[in-house]
Amino acid sequence: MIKLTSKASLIVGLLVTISALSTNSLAAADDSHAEALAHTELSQAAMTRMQISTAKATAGQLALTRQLYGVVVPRQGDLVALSSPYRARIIKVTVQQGQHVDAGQQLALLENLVSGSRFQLLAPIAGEVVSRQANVGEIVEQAVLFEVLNSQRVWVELSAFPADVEALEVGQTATLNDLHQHRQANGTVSYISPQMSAGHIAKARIELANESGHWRPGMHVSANVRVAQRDAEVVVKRAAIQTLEQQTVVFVRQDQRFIAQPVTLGIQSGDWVEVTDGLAVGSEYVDGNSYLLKADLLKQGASHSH
Amino acid sequence: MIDNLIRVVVERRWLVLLATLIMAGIGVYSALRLPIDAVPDITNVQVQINTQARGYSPLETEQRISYPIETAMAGLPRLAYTRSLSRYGLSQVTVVFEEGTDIYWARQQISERLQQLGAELPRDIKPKMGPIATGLGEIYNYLVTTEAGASKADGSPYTAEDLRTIQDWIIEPQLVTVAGVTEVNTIGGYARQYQVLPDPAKMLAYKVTLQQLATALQLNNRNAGAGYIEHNGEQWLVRSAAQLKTLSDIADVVVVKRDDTPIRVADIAEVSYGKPLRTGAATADEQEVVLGTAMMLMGENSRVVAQAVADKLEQIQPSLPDGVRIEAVYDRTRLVDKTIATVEKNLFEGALLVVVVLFILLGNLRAALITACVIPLSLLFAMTGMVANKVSGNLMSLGAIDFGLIVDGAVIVVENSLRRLALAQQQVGRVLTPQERLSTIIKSTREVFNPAVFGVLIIMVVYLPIFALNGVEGKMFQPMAFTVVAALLGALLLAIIAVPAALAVLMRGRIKHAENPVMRQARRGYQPLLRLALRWPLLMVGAGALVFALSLWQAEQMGSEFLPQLDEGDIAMHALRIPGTSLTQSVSMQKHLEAVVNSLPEVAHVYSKIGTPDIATDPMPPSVADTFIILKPRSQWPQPDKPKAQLVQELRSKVQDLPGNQYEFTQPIEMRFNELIAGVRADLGVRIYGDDLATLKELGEQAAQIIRQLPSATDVRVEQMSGLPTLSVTPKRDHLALLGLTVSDIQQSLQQATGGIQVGLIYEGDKRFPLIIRMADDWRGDLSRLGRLPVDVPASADPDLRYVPLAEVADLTLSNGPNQINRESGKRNVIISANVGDGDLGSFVADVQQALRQQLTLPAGYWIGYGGSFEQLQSATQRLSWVVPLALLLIFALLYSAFSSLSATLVIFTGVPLALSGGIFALALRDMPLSISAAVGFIALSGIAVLNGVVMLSFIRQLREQGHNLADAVFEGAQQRLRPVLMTALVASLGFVPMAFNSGTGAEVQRPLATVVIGGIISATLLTLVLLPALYYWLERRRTTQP
Repeated sequence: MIKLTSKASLIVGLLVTISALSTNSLAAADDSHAEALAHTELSQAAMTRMQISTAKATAGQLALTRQLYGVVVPRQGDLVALSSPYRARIIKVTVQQGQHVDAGQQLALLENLVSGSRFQLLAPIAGEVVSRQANVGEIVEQAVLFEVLNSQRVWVELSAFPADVEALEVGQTATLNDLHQHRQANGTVSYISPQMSAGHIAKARIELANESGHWRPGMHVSANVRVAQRDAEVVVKRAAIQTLEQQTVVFVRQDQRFIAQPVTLGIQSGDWVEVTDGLAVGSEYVDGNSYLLKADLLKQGASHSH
Repeated sequence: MIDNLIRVVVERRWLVLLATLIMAGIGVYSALRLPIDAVPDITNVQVQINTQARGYSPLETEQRISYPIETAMAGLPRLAYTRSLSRYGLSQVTVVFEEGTDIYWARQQISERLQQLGAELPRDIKPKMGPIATGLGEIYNYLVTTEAGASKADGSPYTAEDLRTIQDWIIEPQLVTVAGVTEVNTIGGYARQYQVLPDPAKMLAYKVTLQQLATALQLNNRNAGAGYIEHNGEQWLVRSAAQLKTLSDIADVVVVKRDDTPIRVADIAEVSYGKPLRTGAATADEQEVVLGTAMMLMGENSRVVAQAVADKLEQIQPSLPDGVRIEAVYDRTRLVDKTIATVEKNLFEGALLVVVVLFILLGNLRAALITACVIPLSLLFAMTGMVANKVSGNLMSLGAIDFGLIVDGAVIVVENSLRRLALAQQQVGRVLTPQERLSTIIKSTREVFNPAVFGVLIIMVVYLPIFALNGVEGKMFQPMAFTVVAALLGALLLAIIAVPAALAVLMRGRIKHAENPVMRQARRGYQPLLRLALRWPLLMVGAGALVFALSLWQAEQMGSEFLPQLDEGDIAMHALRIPGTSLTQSVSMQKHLEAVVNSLPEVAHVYSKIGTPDIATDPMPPSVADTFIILKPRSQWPQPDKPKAQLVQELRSKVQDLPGNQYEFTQPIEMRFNELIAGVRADLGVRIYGDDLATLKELGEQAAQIIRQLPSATDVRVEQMSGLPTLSVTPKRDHLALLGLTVSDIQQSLQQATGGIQVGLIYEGDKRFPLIIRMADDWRGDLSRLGRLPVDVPASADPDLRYVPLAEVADLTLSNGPNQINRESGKRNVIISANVGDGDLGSFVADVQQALRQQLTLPAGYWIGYGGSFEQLQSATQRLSWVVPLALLLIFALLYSAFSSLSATLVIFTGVPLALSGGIFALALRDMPLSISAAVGFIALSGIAVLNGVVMLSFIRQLREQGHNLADAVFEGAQQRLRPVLMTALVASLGFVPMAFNSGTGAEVQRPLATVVIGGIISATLLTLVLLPALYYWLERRRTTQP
């Protein structure tokens, strides 16, 4: 009996010890897991001195833009070239180059060489005479005599490369800049070519109003097209993002303690970037001089050998 | 023969004195030419080969530059080893030669090899040898800065670029002409650059390619000579000057013509002064500055050269534009003057003490003066020897001269002559005639000739082991040994040649020879003690043995250190940040750091070097900064006697508050020495050699883990080999092929955007500045914009396809690349460093070796090597362990040849261990550890101990030969020799007293030496007076009683 009791108590004792140890180790494991996130401590004085600033994570609207280059071209049908239907002699030219004409206005008077009758050349559209190749007394047959351009509205043809084309959609808004950043205009993508040219370029088209006459066909422009717009739940400043040992992190503040919180990022636009996972709205994070915190965490490895 | 020598010397005394005067004159001349520095130069013989490789990553640098150079250097005669480091844009190969190699010859060899190598290196890569300077070379640092509120002629304030241009083109060319300056190194500011910043959109609009722009700038910027024409008897030189001179000239260059209109550079690009991509910057007192360093040629006199530099800068100051001034921030003469002051103080006080003691004990002023004159004369003799053998005068060499030791020989001669003259005078009852005087002097000199010469010879022999030291400790102590031996040689020559002559000349008339009261007291006290010793000789011997045993036990208890470090007065602080920190970030962090440092009241000013200067003597990445903290003189501190260690501790706690920095505290010269001698600065360095970087990194981390387990290991660190953020632009080759582009098209566009392409030079008088094409900063700062960078597609069929964005044809990825690749003797390696906490170094190293052997498995092709400062300690102790017994054996042999009696020799030899005990107790009393410095003191001590024994014993034997019995001979002999023994002992120990208690600059290196010698002399004298007669008496009695 005694032997059994002592054996039993031994077994019980062993079991108790094992369970105690395991809970201990579990607890320890939990603790160590919680401690697994790298962190550092900084005093308020140090923060002020090093200009480390914080902000609260908020929801926000992000717009993703792509920059494309393009050329201003006249709208289809806004540039017409007129020539004589018959072999004729020019009797009168009533317009000068650069003159504004209305639709139906007479441009020139010609005499049919064969029949001898006179006929007029009328401007089919309102616009500006941009080219006058006709002079009185000339014999013309098929040459282009006048070009009339209506540049009240123009098209901007943007060169979209394969990566761009995937992101573009009809209806997206864009801001256009001329080369010298003097003027800006807004427009909407109205057409994306289904074909690619030999150089893997698809044309995307934006229509622009051009009352001022600033957007001359032939002009090179650059366009920032807003390809995506999202209401993000959490956005942070781009300056807050750092990489720590292959992970993207944001430094979250808890009193004077700063924890390197791994985050997953979404789209970024300008100074802001969306955080899809890892950060809650309202958390205080470091946005100014966040590099200093990364430096502080890794500084154990800072060395200099020769 | 000796008799003849002495007779000639005394008879031709005036000639001898004249010769002495001439020697003194030569000595003074040499003293003026002696190279003086604060500390001995412990740099090894090495040549640095620095190669700038703009844009090369560490891997490419290693593969294309470091490796070929290293291989080319293999097999050089007298080569010790090579090591290299490969970093972004820089390769540094250090070639170390054996000690004693001539540096110019070494450079010649290297330059030949580099020339042969030329073709193997990539184009535009030019290796350059570093300056001929050593760790002591940076003797003068100055800032180029402006007065508050100063402005240029056009009213705008001076920019960092203006200051740098002034430094590069006005100050540096003049400063380099100063004799002794080999190089002027600059860091900080911006070197001027003319920049053309093209706008890609405009280039597209005008259909201009980068190549066209570059060609236009290259071809429109030349001067040409075109021979000469003769015209009516005159010769006219033909010349066409069409170089671009100003920004507007550059802007007006026509690139291409479109529609009859020239398209100029200004239409497609912005032209301005640009900021180049810097490798280094400098700050001082929270401002960015331009810092210049004057580097001294190897072997020159630092004091003279630093003074010349200061003078030259004063001359240059007026030629600078208004409002710009040069401010000195570090001048080596300060430290040199302070250490020389310490040395001078020691020497002067020591000499004074010696003279006073001599006078007191001799009782005769003239005799004391003659003996005292030996001091400066032997010093001058030593300096002549030093100049002839290119030994520099510094804290160690000049500071370790003990005048007491040096005048020993003279003291013996003078004391005996004085005694004999007084005796003769007494016997004759009147003043001696010149004949009598001369003959007395001759006889007395002959009497002590042997012991005097042997004594000095023995002291000289005792210093010989120091010449056997090599490495760092050898460089530190050999000058000292040389100086002391040279001084001793001079003193010996003087003692046997000049001193008798001087005595013969000066000791005329009435010889005052009273036994002065001090001696009388000493004699009265000594006699009973001597009688006691002779009655109980064995007891005395037993007491002596006990004392020795006690001292050995004490020695076991004491700590040990390698070498005490000279306190330079200033602090150098390494501020280390993580690899990959940008220069701008580092500069801003540094400014904050300087603000904190300046808040301490003891700091006069701070200046820092961040990154690598022009000449990459110490290539630091932008994440490392050397901060020099110049302290105010101690008298201006709020607590003038605050120990420096405490100040460093306060500083450390203040700067820990700043995030992101890791610190190492050291001193300016110490830091340079460490960097040059290099290898590992910790106690133990484990190197793992191998080929693959990733494997090395892993093995390194495993080894560090293993070492951390050991109980006495602290500060275990693996050297950071990776972690450099790299943006890799990898071309997509198939996409390229489709578009007709090549890899070099992409790379050229990329280089233009981020790095810049040089297309020519702009001359401003003498000055030359590069002309660079580079994109504006907003293209380079934004990664997504960089992806939009248009790459020109040359001559494509489709007119629409004139460009393609970079992201289409290349992958842009951010990754961590290797930071630095180290190679040693041709193999890559990773270094794990560790310090020993408590426990001694030797057993710690053995533990580490065992642990690694058992627990670390190395793949084939990988092996371990061990290094660090423990190597030096080991090699020094090993060397000393056979050299010191050898020296003792030599002494033994000398003694035996002098006395031809084994027992006499042994008796004298007992002086050595007992002298050592006194030294050990003295160290323990002052709480100092054992060190190489103390060991050198022990070496000096043994010589002194033996000398006194020689003096006493030779006299005792002489008396015996004259017929006295043993007991009488011993008693009388000891009595007679009391005065010279006391004199030599007092004089030798007092000579070191100032050194033992000095607290000036440099004293901490000399104090152990002085302490040991003083303690040892006290004990050695005691036993010479008491134990030696007893022992001799006992031994001789036993011998004579046994038939």
